[in-house]
Amino acid sequence: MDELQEVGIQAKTSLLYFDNVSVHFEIKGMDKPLIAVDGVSFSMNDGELAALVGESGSGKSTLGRVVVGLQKPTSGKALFRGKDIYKLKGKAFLEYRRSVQLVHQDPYAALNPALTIYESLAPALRRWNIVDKKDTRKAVSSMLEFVGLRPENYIDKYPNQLSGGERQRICVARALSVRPKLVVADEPVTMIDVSLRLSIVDLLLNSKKQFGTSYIFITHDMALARYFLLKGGGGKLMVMENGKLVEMGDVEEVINNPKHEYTKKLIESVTE
Amino acid sequence: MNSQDKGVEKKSGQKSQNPSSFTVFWRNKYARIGLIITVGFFVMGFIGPLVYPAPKIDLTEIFAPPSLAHPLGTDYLGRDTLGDIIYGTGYILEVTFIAALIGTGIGVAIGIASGYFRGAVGSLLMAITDIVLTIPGMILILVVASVVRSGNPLIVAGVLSVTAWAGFARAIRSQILSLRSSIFVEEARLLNLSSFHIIFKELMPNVMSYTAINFIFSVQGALFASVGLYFLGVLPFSAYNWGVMLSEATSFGGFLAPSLAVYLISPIAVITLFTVGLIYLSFGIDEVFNPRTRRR
Repeated sequence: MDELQEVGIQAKTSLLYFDNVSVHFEIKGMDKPLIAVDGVSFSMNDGELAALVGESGSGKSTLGRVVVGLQKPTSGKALFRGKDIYKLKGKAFLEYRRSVQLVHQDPYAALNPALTIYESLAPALRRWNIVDKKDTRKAVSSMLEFVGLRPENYIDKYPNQLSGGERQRICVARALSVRPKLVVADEPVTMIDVSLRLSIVDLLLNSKKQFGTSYIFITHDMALARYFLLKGGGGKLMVMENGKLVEMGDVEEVINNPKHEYTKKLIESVTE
Repeated sequence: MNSQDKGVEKKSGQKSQNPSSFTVFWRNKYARIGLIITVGFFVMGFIGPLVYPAPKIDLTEIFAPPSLAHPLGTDYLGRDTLGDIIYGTGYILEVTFIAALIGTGIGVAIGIASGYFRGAVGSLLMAITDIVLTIPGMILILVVASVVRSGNPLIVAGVLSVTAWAGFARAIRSQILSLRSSIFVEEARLLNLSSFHIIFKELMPNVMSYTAINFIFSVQGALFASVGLYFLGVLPFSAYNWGVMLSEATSFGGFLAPSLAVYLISPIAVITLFTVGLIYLSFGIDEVFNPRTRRR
């Protein structure tokens, strides 16, 4: 009874509360559905960092899509501030929609090729009335500055004139522009030149420090996940294999004392 | 706005602002030629008649060779050929551009609506489009034109675009279908931007290049179709029309003697020149609407 109540309180106060969430994909011509996410439970608090590690096909991206509201789970509870994400309506939905944002893996596809950077960033500011109309350009400039780009060199450019790293900075700026509480960063640096990866990760952490943004950092790279969490002041390391969360805990504890075979394998592959 | 902001704006103007649409357009040699030709036709069509005397029937001047008084000679009734061309230009421009506007407008509207709003609305629109696509266009135009028998440019343009929009609507729909599931549209949804924003600000710019090119080709198609209708005599004969000229030149003596070649070739040359101008114009339009061709 006590335990149940405790869970209830946690579900209500947490930013995010997932209980036994599964996602199945029915595929034509196959008898059994593809199980992308299999009974995943975890929770996130405001300002918390989490890294979701697993190999490709482990279901980590699908789980990320459930969090941002793009993939309805087949079963289980996906709660945002205690309410089912996929049943949110009206004001509560708008609050959720603004609070949870995504940074996509592919910065080449995430920006509209026909729009300048200003035209890509301004609409969200206007939509949410974050700044007055006359201050929009100034606000976009300061967003660009925040992500380390000189506004005058970028604001009127088209995406095709920018490198992958520059585009990803702009995607980060756009995701952060609505001042979200939680950002799901789905392999945000995979398609970026190795030499620039850490600077993008640092940028994400910078926003955590400044605005208290929570992150779910999805990656296949254990070393990067560890860097993200340790540099960000600690957080939760979650390891996913075949749709299941096989290990979850404080990053240092998991790294120093992994319990699951798969986690050990991942850590060994880094240290070797 | 304080002075500091102005400084930033000014700097961006000097350093990285994109070239204006016209600069991008003008950089292309073909676009320049196309624009000059097309503007030339507009000048000829709408200012020409004010300065050039209207061709009159003059039986003493039948089949006159080119001369100062008649730079392109005269026809079988002694009318000035150049005058016929100049006085026919305005009508051709009206018919072709209105027809292209109607055809392209309907095509874009139906293509975007059926691509974006899937479900009953989209299916219904596509069913209508598919039915129209199965109708042989030129034959329907012939039938409608011979029933309507009007020389009013608006009506002729309407007749010409009866089926012209359907293929284009399908093409736009397929582009919208692929664009609407693109990641940048997904991002716009995550930011809760409206359908209005997504359609007009995210999707439209991506099909503008294609739309503009289609517009130009529609003008060309309407030109051929309208000239063809007049050539066949389906539409009522009117004075001053390239199609009528072509028809008369072939049936009333254009082939009789080599010296009459100018009479026959003039309408053909002017139709060809107009078409070439439009195609060159489309090269420039592609550069303007396609951001990938905008270089630093």
